[in-house]
Amino acid sequence: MEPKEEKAVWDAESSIRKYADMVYRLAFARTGSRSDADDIFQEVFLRFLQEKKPFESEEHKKAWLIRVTLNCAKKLQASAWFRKTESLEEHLAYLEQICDTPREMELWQELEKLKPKYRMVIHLFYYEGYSVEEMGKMLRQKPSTIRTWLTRARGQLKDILEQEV
Amino acid sequence: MNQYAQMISRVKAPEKLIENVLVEQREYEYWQADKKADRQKWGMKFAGGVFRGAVMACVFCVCFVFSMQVMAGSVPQVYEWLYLVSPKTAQFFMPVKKVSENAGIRMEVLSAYIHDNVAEIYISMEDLEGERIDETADLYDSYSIHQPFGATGHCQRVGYDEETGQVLFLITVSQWDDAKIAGSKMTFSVREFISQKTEYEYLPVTLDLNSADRDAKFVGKWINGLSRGFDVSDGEVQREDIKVLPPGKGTPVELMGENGEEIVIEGVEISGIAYAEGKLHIQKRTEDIFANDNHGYFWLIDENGEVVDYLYKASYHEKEDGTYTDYEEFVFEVAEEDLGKYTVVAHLWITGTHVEGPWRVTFPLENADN
Repeated sequence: MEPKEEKAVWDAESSIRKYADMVYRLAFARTGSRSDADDIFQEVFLRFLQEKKPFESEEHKKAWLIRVTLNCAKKLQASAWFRKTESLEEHLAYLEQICDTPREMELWQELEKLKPKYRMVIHLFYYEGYSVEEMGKMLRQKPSTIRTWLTRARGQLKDILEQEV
Repeated sequence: MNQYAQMISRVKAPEKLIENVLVEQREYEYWQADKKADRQKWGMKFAGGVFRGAVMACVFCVCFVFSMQVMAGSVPQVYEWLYLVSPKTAQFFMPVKKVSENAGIRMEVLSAYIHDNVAEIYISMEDLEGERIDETADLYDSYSIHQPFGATGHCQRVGYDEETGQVLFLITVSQWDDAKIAGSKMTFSVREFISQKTEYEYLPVTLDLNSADRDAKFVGKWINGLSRGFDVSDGEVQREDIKVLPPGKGTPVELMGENGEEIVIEGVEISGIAYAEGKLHIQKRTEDIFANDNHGYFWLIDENGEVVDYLYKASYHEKEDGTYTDYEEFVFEVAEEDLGKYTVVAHLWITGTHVEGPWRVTFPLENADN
């Protein structure tokens, strides 16, 4: 193999390692399921690797990965009867790993009751730190729509959010 | 850092998943690189497109000779390729070279490798008569694996060479009893495959929603697939409450291409459009569903480009003329007076080729230690 081709593979690898957790977290936050997050993760990165899309910057690459992750999640949800299932026990066991306190567990369970699009904006806003305007561009929605989703999400989380998300 | 951020930061991508993606990518890259090198080796230096044109112009003998040369060189190729992917695995790779030909399609078992209680078998398929196989080739769950020991197995497409038209599949069989894999025989058979799939992504459908039938008679059917919209919570739509449009023929879906051209999708029809009780029903009909895997989704977009997701999508099958026809009904909650403000948008996957075999190869499973 040519050195150039070898480098391309390694560059791709470093991107995967850099953004693996970001993609997985977003997929998990959007779907609430590890098996769905696994499927989405693989689809996103295989598209990333095989399309070899030229990116203008790291921010462009990151935004593309977020957009594709959300599209894949949407597509997976549209074919709900093909989805793998995860037992309640497995799911709760995993939640116990990521929630340190009963309060965190309660917050996560409240988040799970939200519509996926509300969970998505909560994640992008509170974890990835995107502004309403940036999310609007990324999700191809008006900023006012994003603001509405965030407001409704916060409203539904009620008193838990009053302390802090 | 806030409480949510603390929690979600503990979610990590499993290392195995990352490795899987990297391995799959390396396999693809090396398969492509190997084929390129092989083509140079055999002096096939003209452009792939020109060569394909030649094939299409029925220079059959050239195609055949080229295929034979490639196949003759394929075992070393797989060795080299595997060395790049996993030198340890390549050391124990066993060439097989067993062939089955039918309907102008050649299936060859290239190599088999047994380690621990797992057998990995590489199989290539190519079209000797035309271009019915491409990178979308899918065995469509029509393959079967027979072996004299208790095992579970699966088959996945791991590579495609557009210059030779060869597609590579990896069969992985994991033994679950104490019988020996090595020394036994395995039979791999494929009943049919589909290929040349085309994806039509988010294109407008030529459909006047104002023409929706306001007096349609809905019927109860056994719903075998139900998908709720993104904004619909569990319990909001109950399978047993769903009434659908009756089955019947329709007209092919017409899409508007990116340059305004009309694209007629043969084999997928709009077989009903109705408005009742505040809901718009659009029924999609797909003939002989088990032979083509044609499928897709409809959404609405409003005048501002905002997507309106379906409330639910319900599907059922009907046996018609000896084959199964699939009916999928997309139901949207929109006001009747707003129907004219919406455009239907489709995302469809359409199969171009369906080839029936069968192809069947029996081959020995030898442990490299022997």
